[in-house]
Amino acid sequence: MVRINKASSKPYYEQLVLSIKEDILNGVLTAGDQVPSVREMAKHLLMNPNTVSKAYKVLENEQVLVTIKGKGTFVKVTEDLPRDEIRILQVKERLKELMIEARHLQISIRELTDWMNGFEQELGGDPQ
Amino acid sequence: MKIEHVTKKMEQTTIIENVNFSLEKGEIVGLIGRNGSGKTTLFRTIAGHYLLDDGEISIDNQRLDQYPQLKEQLFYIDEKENFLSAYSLKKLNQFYRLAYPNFDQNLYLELMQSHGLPLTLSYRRMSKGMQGLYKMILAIASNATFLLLDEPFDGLDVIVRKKVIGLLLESLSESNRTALIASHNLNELEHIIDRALLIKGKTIEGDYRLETIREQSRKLQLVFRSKQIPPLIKQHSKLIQKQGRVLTALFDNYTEELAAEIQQLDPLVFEELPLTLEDLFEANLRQEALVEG
Repeated sequence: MVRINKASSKPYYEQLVLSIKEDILNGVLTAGDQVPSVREMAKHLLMNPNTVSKAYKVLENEQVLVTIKGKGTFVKVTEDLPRDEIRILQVKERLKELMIEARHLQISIRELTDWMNGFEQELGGDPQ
Repeated sequence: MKIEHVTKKMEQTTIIENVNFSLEKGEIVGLIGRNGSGKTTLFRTIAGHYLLDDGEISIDNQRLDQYPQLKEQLFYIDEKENFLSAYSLKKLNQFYRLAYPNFDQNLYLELMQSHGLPLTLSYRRMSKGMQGLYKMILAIASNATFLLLDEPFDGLDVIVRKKVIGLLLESLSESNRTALIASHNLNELEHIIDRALLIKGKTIEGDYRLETIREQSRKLQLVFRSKQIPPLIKQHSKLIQKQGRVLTALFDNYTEELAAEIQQLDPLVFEELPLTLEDLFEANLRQEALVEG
């Protein structure tokens, strides 16, 4: 379920965007599902409707949601989307944790990038 | 709505001076300030209960004092001086239908029923929570464009409060109506407003767009090896708290470059904390003397 974390320093609209993406990843929302209207969502979260509306616009621009006039807002079919920003962010976070460990163990950035290049070769090169 | 250079004096004492701001349609705006800072005076002045000593108030470029019918677009109930207690809800309903030609009677009846309020009770026999709910229902059903709400959540239990806020947000969504809300309940307020107007020293001193602030500003908790506060920190932030080596500082304009510069000072602790309306209030108003209400 979408929720806002007051202990986060992220803007609310961004939290809402991530929260809806997370729900899609977890399967709480699936392609074709209708999401609450801005009005219902604002009432449910007790949050500024303009903020909710901004989050919905971002999600529409990112092809996550689609609004059909007179019918409502729905989760878009996501199969052929090129990049999955939420997972990319999670990977980045995990990488940061690894960097912290690496620094403690006095591993240089050079060594780390060498390893990464090595792994990439093993996996058959850059996908792009 | 435009408020320009508005000044109001009471018996030689200036209560508010040179107040300037505008309210756009579809916005929810918070009015925050310490007790006795002039919030209620400002509301009464906008609502036309007081004559201005200087300045003007206009809606769509028409001055309120020249076009009294514009008051149909304004909803305000004075918290201290109002006539509600003398009447029954039935009578109050009639008054408000007369005062607001666009009063939505169907919506009024629907909201009364869905919130379990009897139509015939006398106002003073209702609990504080029911009164709060009733006032919000009147505000919404009035169909006025500008709602001036003075402490609308004050003294309500959590269930009624959520109902009142939900009602307000629902009716303002996807409409062109505007609310100006004075509240000391900052935790509640910061979720529902677009902007916060800070009243200080008799005038509006700050106008904050909250989502912009959440994007651009940061509250950081920092600990450095040395006990002295690094000049970089002093230069870029307002210090909120210092406990031993632990600094809590508010950075108005926080950039990645600045973050990198702080990292170079090799802090022992570097933690981002959420920036709240309460922080803004405290950082700006801590020094302000408390005035009588």
